[in-house]
Amino acid sequence: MSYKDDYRNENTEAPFYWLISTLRTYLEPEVYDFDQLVDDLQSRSEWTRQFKDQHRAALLDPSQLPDGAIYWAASYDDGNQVRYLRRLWRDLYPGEPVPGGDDEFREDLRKLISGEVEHRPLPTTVIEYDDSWGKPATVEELQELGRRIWQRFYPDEPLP
Amino acid sequence: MGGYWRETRGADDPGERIEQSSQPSTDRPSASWPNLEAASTEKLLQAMGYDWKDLTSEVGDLPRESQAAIERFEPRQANLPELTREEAGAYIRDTGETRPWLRTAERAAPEIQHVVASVDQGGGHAAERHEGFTAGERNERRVDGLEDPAQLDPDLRAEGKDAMSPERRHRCGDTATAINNPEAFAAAFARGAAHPDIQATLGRPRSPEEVRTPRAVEIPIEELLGEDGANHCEGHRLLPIDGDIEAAKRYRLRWVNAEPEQRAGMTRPATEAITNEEFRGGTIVFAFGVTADRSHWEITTMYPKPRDRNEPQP
Repeated sequence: MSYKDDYRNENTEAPFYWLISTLRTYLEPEVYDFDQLVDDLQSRSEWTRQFKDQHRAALLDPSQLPDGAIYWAASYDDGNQVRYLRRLWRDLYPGEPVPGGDDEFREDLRKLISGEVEHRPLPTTVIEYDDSWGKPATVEELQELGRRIWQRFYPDEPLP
Repeated sequence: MGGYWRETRGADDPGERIEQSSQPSTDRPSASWPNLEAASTEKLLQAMGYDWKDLTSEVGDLPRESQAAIERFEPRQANLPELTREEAGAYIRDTGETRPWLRTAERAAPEIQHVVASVDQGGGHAAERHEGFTAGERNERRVDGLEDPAQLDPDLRAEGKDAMSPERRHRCGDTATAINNPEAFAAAFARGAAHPDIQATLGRPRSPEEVRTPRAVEIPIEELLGEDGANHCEGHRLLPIDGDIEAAKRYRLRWVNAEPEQRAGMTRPATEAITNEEFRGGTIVFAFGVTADRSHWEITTMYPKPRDRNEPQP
C-alpha cells in the first residue's frame, strides 16, 4: 500500500503517517495555514507528539521516508525534502537545534552576512526569510538582512 | 556579473542550467497576441468580439441534480453567514469593484449568485482563487510567477505577496486550477457541501477538544458536475526541469525572488495548460478550517484536481 493509500485510509500505523498527514492538511500550498498548525501544536496532544517524533526521525534518517511522500504532502519550493524539513523544524520549534544539524543554512547565512551575496535571488535556504522580495538591494542591506535572520535563530551565538 | 547563485550552485542543479541560459527573459508568450495557440480563452474570446462574462454565465449542461443542489443551497448548511438571494444579488452588484472575482457572476441566475456570494462571505478563498475569474492567464501567472489572483495591488501581486497575508509570499503548488464558470462552481460547492463525506465535518459543532483540522475530502468531478464535468475545469502546471519538478519549483522561487536586473537574464518558469481530458477521473478537493467564532468547521477552499497521471484514463 502506498503512502497515498495510507493517507486516504487513515492508516495511522503506517510509517510517517502523522508527519505526512499533518503536512498535507496544514501546509499543502492550496490549504496553507502555518499559524493554525502552530496553534494546534500547542495542544500537546498525542498526535502532536507523534508528529514531532516522526519529524525528528525523518531528519535523522531521511532514507526511511517513502519516496516522494514529503513533496506530495507539502509541495515545497526548497528543492529537496531535507532542506524543507530542516526549515520546517526551525520555524516550528525555534530554539531547538535541528536534528542532524543545519550546516547549509548556517553557511548560507554566513555568506550573506559576510557580503559574499551581491544581489537577489538569495540562497534558497534564506529566501523564505527575505522580507523584501525582488527589490534591488545593496550588499550592505543584504548583510543586515542576514544579521537579522541570524539573531532570530541564534540569539545566543555571536555573528559569524 | 558574478553573484552568489551563479558561483556556488553547481551543475548538478538543473535549475541552475536554466538560470545560466543566454536566452532573454521570456515575457509571457501566452499573453502576447496574436499567439493564438497559447493565448488564454478569455483573451481569445475578447479578441473575437464576444463578452466573456455573457458566455460563462450561460453554460447550461450541468446535470439536473447539480442544478437542484444550487436551488436547494442554504448557507447555514456550509456554516456560512446567512444570506438571502436578494441580498446575494445586491452584494455582488455592490462589491464587484473591490472584489472583482464576483463579476463573473454578475449576470448569473439569482440562485447561482446566492452560492457564489455566500462562499465569498465565508472565511475561505475558493471564490477568489478557483472560480472563473482566475481561469486562464491568472492561473498561469499564479503557477509560473506566484502571483496571487486575489491580490488586487498590482505591485504586491508582481512581488508574489499573498492577498490574505501580505507580509508573506503567496503559495502555489506545481499546478493551479479553477472551475471556469460560476454555474459549475456553484454546483460543485452546493453539491459538495451537501455530500455525506463533507457533512460529516460541516454538520456538527466543533468540539473545543478538537485540536486538529480535519483532512481534506476529495469527491469525483463526475459525481458533482456530471459525466462532462471535466469540461468546466481548467488549469496550468509547472513543467519539470530535466524531469525534476522539485528543481523546477526551486527555480521558480529564485526567479520570483530575483531582482529585475538578474531576472532579465533568466528564463521565465515554463508551464503548460492542463487539458479538460486530464480532469476526467479527477476530483474536487474540499479543505476545512475553523469558522470565525470557532464553533464549527467551514470549507476554506475548493478546487478541481486533475487525474493522477499514473492512473489510467477512465
